[in-house]
Amino acid sequence: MPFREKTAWISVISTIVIWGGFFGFMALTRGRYPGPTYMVGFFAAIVLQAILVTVAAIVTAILAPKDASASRDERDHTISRRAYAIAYPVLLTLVLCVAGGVHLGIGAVGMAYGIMGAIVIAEIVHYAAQIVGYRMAS
Amino acid sequence: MAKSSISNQIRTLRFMSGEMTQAELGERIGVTRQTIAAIEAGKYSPTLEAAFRIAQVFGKPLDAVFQWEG
Repeated sequence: MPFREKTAWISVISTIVIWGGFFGFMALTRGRYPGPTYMVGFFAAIVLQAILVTVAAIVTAILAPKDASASRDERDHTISRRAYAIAYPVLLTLVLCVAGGVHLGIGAVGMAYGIMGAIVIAEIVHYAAQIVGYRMAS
Repeated sequence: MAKSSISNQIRTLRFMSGEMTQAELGERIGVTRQTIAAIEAGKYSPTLEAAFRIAQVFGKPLDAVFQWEG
């Protein structure tokens, strides 16, 4: 498995677990806790994901140093381009939906979390498209 | 990336070049071993530049390495 596919797997799994956990907590508690609780959770999720992805990438690189040091080639660029081409419309659609939520009474904080959710979903789509690209072209 | 209609003789040419490995070929044209494997299996169509580089490594014209199946 190419190093970049491994990192895509790491990213998609960590994104689903960490952000799924965060948004799951938000959905379950429905604002029962004070705002700063969610804000702390939000920043904790960012830090946790950064640490998890970095550590996992370092471990993967140690296990396959040759693959990790190889620079991106034309297939990597093609797969990356296609993944962005798929994820961008998803992000745009979700952000427009969140923006449309203004008319449904969504507040500024709700909208901020909604946009964050849109980014997370688009990132998941992006990594998933990368994985599919590598699976199909390997 | 569906299977392309471009076939190739890379496996045969590698064999005729003293069983050159995919990694060696990849190194010589500046792509990864996995990309060579994907090209060889017909799962990835290389850029024109990479195709010319591969042909150059084997000292063959482009159409001796890649064939358009239609």
